[in-house]
Amino acid sequence: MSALNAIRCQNCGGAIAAQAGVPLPRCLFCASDAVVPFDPPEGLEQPGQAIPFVITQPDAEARFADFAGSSIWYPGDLQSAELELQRLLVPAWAWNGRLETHWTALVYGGATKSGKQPVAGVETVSFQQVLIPASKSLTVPEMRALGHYDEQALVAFDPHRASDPYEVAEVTRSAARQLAGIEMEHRHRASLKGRHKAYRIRTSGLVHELSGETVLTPVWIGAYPYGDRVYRVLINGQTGTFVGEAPISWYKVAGAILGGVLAFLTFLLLIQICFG
Amino acid sequence: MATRSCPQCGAIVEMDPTHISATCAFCDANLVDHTATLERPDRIAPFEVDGRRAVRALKSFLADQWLAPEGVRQAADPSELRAVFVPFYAYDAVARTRYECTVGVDWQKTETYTVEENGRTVTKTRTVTETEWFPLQGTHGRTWLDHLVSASRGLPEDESNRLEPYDLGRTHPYDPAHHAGMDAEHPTVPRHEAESTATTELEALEKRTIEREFLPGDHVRMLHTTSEFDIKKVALLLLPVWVAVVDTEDGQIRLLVNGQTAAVVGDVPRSTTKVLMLIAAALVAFLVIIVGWLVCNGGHGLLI
Repeated sequence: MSALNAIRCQNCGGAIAAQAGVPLPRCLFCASDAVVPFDPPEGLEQPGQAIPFVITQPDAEARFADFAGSSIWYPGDLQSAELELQRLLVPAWAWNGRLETHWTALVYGGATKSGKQPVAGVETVSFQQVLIPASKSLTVPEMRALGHYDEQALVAFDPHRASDPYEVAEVTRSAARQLAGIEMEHRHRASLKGRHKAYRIRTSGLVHELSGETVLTPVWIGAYPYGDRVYRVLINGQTGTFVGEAPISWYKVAGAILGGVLAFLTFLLLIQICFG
Repeated sequence: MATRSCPQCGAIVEMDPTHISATCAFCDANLVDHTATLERPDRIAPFEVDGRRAVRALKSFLADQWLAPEGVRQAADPSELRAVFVPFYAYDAVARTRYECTVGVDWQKTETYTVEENGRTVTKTRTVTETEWFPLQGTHGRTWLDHLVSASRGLPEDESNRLEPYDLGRTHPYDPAHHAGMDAEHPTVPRHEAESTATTELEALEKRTIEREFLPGDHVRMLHTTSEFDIKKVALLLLPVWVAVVDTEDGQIRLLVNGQTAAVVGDVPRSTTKVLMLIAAALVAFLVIIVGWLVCNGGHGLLI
């Protein structure tokens, strides 16, 4: 790793590396330039495979433009905000195993006074090469919102020859195993809830024969300052799924409320005039 | 290292030769030489609370004991304060539980009723909550990690439970150098006994988890559970504890301080006078409420 260029962001704690000679002047997670050289600790497993990018830069920029114009409440100058979308590889773990989920639920239906009845069951599912994000800098909701990747597209990854920067994998195997169990149970719970049309569902899972390895997944990432905050957008580099939030223009909201009040008052005035 | 055992409480303590104590940290009895072959710990957690912070925690704990005699609440610094590494077994186990119960599901019902208002009969409606009950049975499965059981005869299990939690992520692989200068107790609870304690505690945890977090519906009754455990891993840990003896007018009190979190555990005597005063105050408050109710209702009701 000493032949690589690695930085740690002093603002958000993000750790990014690239092959030697590739500059990393700012943090890709929060756009801060408070970055310092960083020597990744020994002993952490680093990825040997990665999923290549499918979404191109013009496509990613077009998706951001669509997002910026998708709501009347976003500021009018959002589309011209200082945003540079960049390619980044984010760590994930590819897991194989079995999940035994014990579940209880309240389901609709049945000739009951409450319109619901309790049911219980247990279901075991096998999973092969299921990718579960393991980034320390992206949030869990962001990683879930990016959606799934096709793990069949994995190719060999050599950090010394990679053309894209990547987040240094800092989640240990032990912590990643726990994340895997939580995430697999979360997905299975959603599946059970849909199939049983449950009003409320609770689960408890047991993971068996779990084996996995760390890999890298492609993401277009951009962080832009607006007002006194930094907003972040992410685009799944394989499927194009867009994840991001934008500021609300409170001027537009205030204007809409004011306009509504004026329209209502005008309507009342007209009623008064017409009907005395 | 020198090894000593306590004939009174059974504790076996490994001591730094420069730090030999003649008396047991847990019960103050005289210690004897011990030459038995002892189990080597797997991991050890360092002290993160120093002596001064431990004393502050003790004083704060005593000051919060409102029913204790004032002499106890305002006790001076402990006459004795020892840093001891206490052995615990940490269990990883897979639990499978069969349960049977009755689950209640709330629903809203609108009902009509009549009242007399101003000499007329008026019909009104109100919403009441009813509960519909269903039998339910099934299974629950969960992996329990790092469940701690005291391996020390000097630290009873109920006291060790109150001393938790410990962050076991801050332990290191065992090395005698980690407790140089401090006492480290060897396990004196046999493994089979500790395992029995672990499964008993986990069975209770399973039942509580099922009732509070797993069953659907709004109410539960008649919950019966049967659990089976598959112990995956057992580790012997040494965890930091401050053992303090506080001298008071009412005698000596032994208190324990978690060497990681500064949580304090101990049985503190109660002041009979304060307890009687509390009961008297509660009775007076009750009588005031009753009298007030009687006055407001013209003296009817209770006296009939």
